[in-house]
Amino acid sequence: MDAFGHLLNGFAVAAQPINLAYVFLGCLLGTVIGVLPGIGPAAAIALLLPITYGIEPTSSLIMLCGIYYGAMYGGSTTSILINTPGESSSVMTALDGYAMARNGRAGAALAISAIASFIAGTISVVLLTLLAVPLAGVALKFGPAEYFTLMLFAMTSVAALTGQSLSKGLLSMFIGLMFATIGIDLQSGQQRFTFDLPELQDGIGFIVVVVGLFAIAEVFSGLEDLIRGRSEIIRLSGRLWLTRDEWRRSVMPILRGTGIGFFKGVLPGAGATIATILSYSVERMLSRDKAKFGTGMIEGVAGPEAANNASTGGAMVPLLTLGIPGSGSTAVLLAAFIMYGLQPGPLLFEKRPDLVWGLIASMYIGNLMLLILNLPLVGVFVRLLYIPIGLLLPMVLSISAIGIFAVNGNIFELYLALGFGVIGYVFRKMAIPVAPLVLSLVLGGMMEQSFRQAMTISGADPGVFVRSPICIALLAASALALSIPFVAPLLRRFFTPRAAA
Amino acid sequence: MHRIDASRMQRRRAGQAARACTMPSNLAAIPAATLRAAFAASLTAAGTLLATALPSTAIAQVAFPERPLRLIVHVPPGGALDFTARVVGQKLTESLGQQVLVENRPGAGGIAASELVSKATPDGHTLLLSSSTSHGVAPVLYRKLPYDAFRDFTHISLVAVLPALMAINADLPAKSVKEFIALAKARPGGFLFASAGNGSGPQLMGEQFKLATGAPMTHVPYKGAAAAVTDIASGQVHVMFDSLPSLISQVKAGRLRVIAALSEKRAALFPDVQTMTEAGYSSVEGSIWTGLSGPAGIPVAVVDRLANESARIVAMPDVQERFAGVGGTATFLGPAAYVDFIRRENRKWAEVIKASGAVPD
Repeated sequence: MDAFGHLLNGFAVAAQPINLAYVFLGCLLGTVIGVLPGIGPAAAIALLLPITYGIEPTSSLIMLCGIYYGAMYGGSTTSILINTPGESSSVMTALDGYAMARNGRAGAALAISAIASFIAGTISVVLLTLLAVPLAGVALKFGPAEYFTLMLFAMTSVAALTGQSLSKGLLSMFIGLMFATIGIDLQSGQQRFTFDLPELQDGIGFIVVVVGLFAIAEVFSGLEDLIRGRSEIIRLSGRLWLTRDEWRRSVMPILRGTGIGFFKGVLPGAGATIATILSYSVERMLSRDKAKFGTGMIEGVAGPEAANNASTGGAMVPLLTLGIPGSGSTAVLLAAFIMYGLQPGPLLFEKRPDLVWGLIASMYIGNLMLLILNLPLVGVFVRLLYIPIGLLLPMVLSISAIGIFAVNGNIFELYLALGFGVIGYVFRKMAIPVAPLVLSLVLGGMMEQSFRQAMTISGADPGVFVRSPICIALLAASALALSIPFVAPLLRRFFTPRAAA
Repeated sequence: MHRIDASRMQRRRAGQAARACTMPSNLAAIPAATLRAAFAASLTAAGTLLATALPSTAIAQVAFPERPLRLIVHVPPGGALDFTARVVGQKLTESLGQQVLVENRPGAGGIAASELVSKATPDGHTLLLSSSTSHGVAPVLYRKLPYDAFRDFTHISLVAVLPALMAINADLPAKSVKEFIALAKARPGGFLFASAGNGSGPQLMGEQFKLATGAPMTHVPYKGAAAAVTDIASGQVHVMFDSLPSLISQVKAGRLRVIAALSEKRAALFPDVQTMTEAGYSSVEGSIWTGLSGPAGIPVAVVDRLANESARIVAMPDVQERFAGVGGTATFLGPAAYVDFIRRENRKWAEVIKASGAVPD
């Protein structure tokens, strides 16, 4: 039977009333979890695991997967409204999403992120349906050397986020790389910059940094505005929903973001985050108004949001076909499979087609449900902005504190976040962008680790980084990304006279 | 007075019974049947009293449990350790009549989670899933710990043992340990062995193997077992020593080959695979294990109650089946025997760490 026939059978499974109920429950839980920073889908799925024992495996997995991709929908809400990304894959959304909210276009930003999520989610399930089996081996082609070159490529894209001043952007990026070295060194087991604090042994948590730099810094500058009497309530301008122009500008970024997200999602590791960075920098590169990025460009919301959600479909590929989890959430999903005595892999497709295809079919239904769930919420969430600043700031602060505390239950991290809040406020005063810091913190650790793994494996021979076609292609892409800003104007100057003539 | 005496006696007997049946130095190797008998013996020793009036009186005395319990786990959700905690937590919830909440506090060799529990109120409502990582290795791996692994804890019971296996990339021609060693010696630079991180069980078992066999191997640490196993499957690195849950999916897919069991008996799922002892290296031995521990000073009656509950849970056919499904054995040891067991593990790994000199801290 071909994929289409299997899929139809899958729909027969997924459309059973009980399974529809589980899809809905999963999506609802996912949305709620996504909106709250801190409690991620991995923790939520793990909490529900023991309760689901005894439920029919298909139904249970349908619900747990619903939580996984549902959480990706909600993640953008706090990024856009209060400049607080809940996970690393929502950082890019905050850049232009929050700027749009400040311009009075919060409704449009929320709507486009829901719509982009829906389109990307659906297309990525289509790609999963068609490509799961052919793409199965890709994850195994990526060793440490390939990951290092991939991280390098992603780092060159971070340069696209440097804003007006390249030197300020680089400063922010290098500070992030420095923070990434804190903790026990994975290769040697030595403690680095931990000052004998056990809390620092595992490095600085991403959520701590993001909440500090974005949300708490936001509260500080809000306070400053309040004290100086400068604060004003943001007026919504134009219609709540998308204008025709905004929609037109978003279509291509959504499609490009979907492609980037799906294929990056197939690779285990930081799939979603790298995908959002690449999508953002691609949109910025292709745009005619590069300088306007960061001031509320809808392309900068639509692309990364699509990439973020498409990566969940991609991540299901190695999970279902190889039993390889690419992230914390998929690792918990793998545990769920194993708990039910199911072994993901090619055999599962043969032995339990009802389950695999039922699950895939449920993702189509779930994406539709999420759109229906999320669009009406736009109107509700937008009203958050009407809250007087004296109420909004304490709210942001308490949501932030809960978000941090919920992860590890550690008071120390609250102080750390406060420290990053101060750094964020200083950065803002000095017009230094914070996104490069956050992203190099996420990527830096993995980049160092894969570099050193590759060097150990090759016996300290740097030639390992040019030995595979994937490495060479990624290195070439990195070189291209770095040189385009310099070469492009030269080329334009070279071609313009001829065009005029 | 009578009640207290009864419960003390019960604990002593349970301890003796458990100790009596853990005479073999290698616990992972005890056949499941013996273990079942062991737990049965401990139950009959203690259970006769238990069966009469004890449970209700014990509860009346110390009011346990009076609110939901917390079971702190030092690994992120999803792995084998976490799985055993969730199974035991669910069963405890059923039998104690209070919700047992499994809480993940991952990080730093289990130090954060262990410290949290060591400082909790010792009333039995805060428990730790102690493990080979947190109590078998960490006490000898880290020079400075914010707690003492024995003085600051009440160790209640061992619940699960997951014997380790030696798995290699399936494209390697080696079919046995001997062939692997010969191959390693013939290869310039030897083989690369992966681990879940510096100081992790897989690394120590790899070092143990190197010491015992003299096979040239270089350690490549990964962040977590999943990434390590993926790279063995693709042939970037060659071999890993770990318990079944990390390996199973790639073994089943045919990308990894199990060539030895690091337990005294052959693994139930791989009856054709020889043990290290059969291969001639009886000193290479390792397992991942989990148990229940709490802060020091938990009332004796509460310890008894919890130890008896875990003995009962470990004996349940569905629990045994679920543990077996992840390559583990539901294995009970009472409070005193569990402490002895942990001390033996400490001694073993201290020797490996010292002899290999591979772990700096």
